[in-house]
Amino acid sequence: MREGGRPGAVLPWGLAFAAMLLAILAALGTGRFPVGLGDLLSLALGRGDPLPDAAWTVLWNLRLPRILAAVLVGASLAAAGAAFQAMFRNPLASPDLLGVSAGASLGAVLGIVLDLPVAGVQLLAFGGGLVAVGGVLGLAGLAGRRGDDPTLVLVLAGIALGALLGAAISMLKVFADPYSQLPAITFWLLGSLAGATRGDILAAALAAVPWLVVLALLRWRLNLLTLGEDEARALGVPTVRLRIAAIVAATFATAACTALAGGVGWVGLVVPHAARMLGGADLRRVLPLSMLLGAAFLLGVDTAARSAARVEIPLGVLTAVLGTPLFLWLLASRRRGP
Amino acid sequence: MAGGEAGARGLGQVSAEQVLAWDPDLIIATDPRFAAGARTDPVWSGLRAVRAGRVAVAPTVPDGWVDFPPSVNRLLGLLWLPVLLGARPAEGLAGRIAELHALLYHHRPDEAQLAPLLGAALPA
Repeated sequence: MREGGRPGAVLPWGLAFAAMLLAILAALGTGRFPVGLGDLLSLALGRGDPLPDAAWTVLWNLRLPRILAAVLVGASLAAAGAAFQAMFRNPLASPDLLGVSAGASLGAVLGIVLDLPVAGVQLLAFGGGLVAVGGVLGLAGLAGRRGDDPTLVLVLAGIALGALLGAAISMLKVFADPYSQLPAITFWLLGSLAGATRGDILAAALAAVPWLVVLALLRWRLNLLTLGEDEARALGVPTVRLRIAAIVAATFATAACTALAGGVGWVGLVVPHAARMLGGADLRRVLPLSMLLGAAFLLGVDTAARSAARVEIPLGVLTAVLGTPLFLWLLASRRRGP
Repeated sequence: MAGGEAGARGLGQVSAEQVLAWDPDLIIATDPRFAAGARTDPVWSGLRAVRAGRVAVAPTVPDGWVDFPPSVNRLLGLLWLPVLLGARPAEGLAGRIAELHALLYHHRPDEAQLAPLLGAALPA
């Protein structure tokens, strides 16, 4: 981590907004159906033939909702990742550290095995993520001793409960119908926005956006947590309350997005790094920058997921395939940098 | 998808946008609720097949005729699909299906039993 530019530096914001705008335009103009930005431009200029109904359906009913969904999911996961990395003072932290993804996955898998309708699966996924993190917080409270590093106990409790939830998911997969339920489980665990309807997106936004606002309001206080437990307390920071508030906010946002999109990894880990390399270590800048970059990144990935092949490519696969080279490039350019 | 080159092979998740781009002549659904709701769905109702009522529901009793689970019922699908696609006449289909049932399940369904078995497998 290097020190960022001046607090008011314009360049990082310009780059992040440009990336977001580019991603939105690319997503609107790309897809399997032959309608692109050129058609819209000529329509706006009053030239060319009017678009067929199917083209409007594609733009309005299919591409626009997916753009909103990808922006929501990308921004939430990246913001949660940035908060977690600051809170745990560890660049390896990601939103699923405390079991929210594992819990949401178990909820969704249970819903699929019980043949629940889509809304039921989403609700169980959302609830599963919240219950898992609640369990981790409770376990850490039970197991922690005075003088322990509280974040370390939390992480260990998260790893332990995550393993248990993983075992439960595997067990349900064994019992699932191999012809109908198992493929559905596999698709869900790899993540996709293909099935997201407007209602789903609205519900996820209502559940996630207020908590993103909370994270954004907490962002300068989160800076204090990066000092470490003792130093922060010495400054009079209520570390326990602050940490729990950040965990709750990040967990609600992540759980809502996981319920919408399924298992989408890697965004919450990689994007905050990109934001820090762009804007320095100060969370006042890193958190909003992470939201912008996360939205742009996931939007780009989702556009590729629905456009690259006739069948949808799972999001979780593409975030890793596209995110890994990006991450390595960021690491390499950081070392060469000033 | 009939007619190979435009279609995806095997089982896969296809976006609604891709389906609109294909604008298929005929849709074979596995869920009767889909066939019932397609006409009023803002996306699906834009397809030629849906507007023309060319949405067939694949029989699923006791096992699917074209998809899952893989079973001898796919042989019934082999009798049904050529009729659905217009390669063979519809006359005699019920008789051939009843015959194959007698062979596979040792029970020959009568006409009253065949009707719910076929359901909406052959749209007008």
